Amino acid sequence: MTLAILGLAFLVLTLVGLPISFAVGVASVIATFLLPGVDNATIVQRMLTAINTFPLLAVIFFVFAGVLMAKGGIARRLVMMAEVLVGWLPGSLAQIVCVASMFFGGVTGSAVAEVSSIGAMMIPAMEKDGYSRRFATAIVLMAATMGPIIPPSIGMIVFAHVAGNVSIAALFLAGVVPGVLIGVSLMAASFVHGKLYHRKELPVIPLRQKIVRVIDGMAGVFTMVIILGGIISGVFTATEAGAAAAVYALILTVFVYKEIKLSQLPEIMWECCLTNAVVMMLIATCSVFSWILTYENLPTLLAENFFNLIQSKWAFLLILNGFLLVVGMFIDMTPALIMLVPMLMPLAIKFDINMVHLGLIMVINLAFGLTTPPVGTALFVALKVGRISMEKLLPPLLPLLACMCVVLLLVTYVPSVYEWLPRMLGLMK
Amino acid sequence: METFYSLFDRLIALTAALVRIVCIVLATALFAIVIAAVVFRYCFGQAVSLTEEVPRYLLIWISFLGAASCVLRREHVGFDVLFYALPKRPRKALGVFLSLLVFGFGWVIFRYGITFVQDFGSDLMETIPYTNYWYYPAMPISGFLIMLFSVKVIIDEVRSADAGAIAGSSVETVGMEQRS
Repeated sequence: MTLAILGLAFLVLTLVGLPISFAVGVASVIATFLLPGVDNATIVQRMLTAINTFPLLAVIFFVFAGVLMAKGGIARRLVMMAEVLVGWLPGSLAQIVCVASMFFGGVTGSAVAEVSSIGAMMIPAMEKDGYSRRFATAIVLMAATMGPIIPPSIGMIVFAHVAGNVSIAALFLAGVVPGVLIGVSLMAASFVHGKLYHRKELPVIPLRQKIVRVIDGMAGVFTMVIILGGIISGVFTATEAGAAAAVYALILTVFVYKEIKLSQLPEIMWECCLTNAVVMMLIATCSVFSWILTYENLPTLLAENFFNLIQSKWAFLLILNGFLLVVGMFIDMTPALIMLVPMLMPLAIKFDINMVHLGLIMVINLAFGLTTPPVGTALFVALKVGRISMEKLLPPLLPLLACMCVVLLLVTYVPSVYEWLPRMLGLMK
Repeated sequence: METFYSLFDRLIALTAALVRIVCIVLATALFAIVIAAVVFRYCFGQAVSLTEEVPRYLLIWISFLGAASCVLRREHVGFDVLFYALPKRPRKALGVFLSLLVFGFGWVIFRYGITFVQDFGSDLMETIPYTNYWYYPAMPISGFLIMLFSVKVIIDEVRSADAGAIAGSSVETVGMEQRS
């Protein structure tokens, strides 16, 4: 009975527009009041202890580094570097979008920042070069999904926290190959598009200019080296890697690129505090919610009743992907992860699915959700930046989404695709 | 009545500005401590225990104070498609109702946060010789701020011509005003 009230209250309140953290909180308060023998101060205690952990500090550090890089002119530099690297390929400007987004994802971890900064620059440039605005917007949007998949990834930090006993470092490394494969699949689509519809070539860049551009861009990409190199070598924990990335981003954008003034830093810090607060409030209230679910034995109930209906691991993985794609269409990545991980974990254990694998599948599916209607945050920003309607954007979006789904299926059914990197470095058994 | 609203708005603006300054100072301290910890460990071969514990407490203050500010700024992530599908008047009434729920949740954090501080505040921290009174009060204070800021949202809903959602669309769009 308590579970039914909890579930119903949460669902109704979320649907009518109460912020998810408060919908979860209010539903949990109602359920706690109904539970006999439970001290109401448990709500506060659970909320407080949920975020009293060192690894969660990584969220604010990576957000700070990402915002600094996004505001510090990194997008322009990455685009200029990508032009040197892949500008000679068919579908040149689309190829540049894919490669620049791949690096941008590794520097900021944000899909929305990627669409707004790379999109604002590349969509008009592509249109001027003869691409349709529909295709230009679609490729920018789909390339942005690499942001939350290629490390650093706030989604992966949240997953590791909620799942418990999962290495953030292993998840980060597991995201590298799938992220790059998504980039490569989009580059392949751009290649075909270029061969079929767009045969223009970009002007040749002098060698000296090429070297300058690559050095300028690589200075930004070095953030990835600090994060991954620091974690792999054991110099940093994932949290400390976040702090190191933040310091590097600060030095680079304020003193080297000189695109951010010292006077802007308090405002940027405040913006990071707010983003961090939204994530932490979700984690805090959802921990009360999860505690009630466990108190009322929901995982066991699900395992004994509903979960027995699925017998095959393959079928489960297929259903999981379909389910997550649908969830991603409606709910943002962070709340979806916090709420679904506790319920999906017993199933993953039943089918002997590695937690890193589960985390990766969840993050990739939910990252796709950022680009799909009706609630796709990156999609809405792309519509605004590309000044295009949803109906016009959908046709070129679907083949690109299909390319990315091939990568998703590869990651789902051929785990060695993502496993070899964390395994090679001893972060996975 | 207008004078009351004007005074209340000034109170809210002042409180919000204070919360902003406190968060920025605490976040700066948090960064400095974690970076100092790495430097100490690799340059001097020393791991200082408080550099693991103090940042966690700072994170708690920043998170709950920031969460209260996000109520005022309507930045907490939610689902607003059905909300905006409603006609103007029911939407306005729903907006007020939802803010009342936020107020109620703030009251729970405030009320039981005080109980929690009274019951366990005098316990010692894990590795440093201070009591939990240094960070447990983050809960009742943020509960109070959530109540205060939700009253402001309710007044705005009642007074404005149209009703806006009290939720933001994504974690990635928090602070987008400044970002764009």
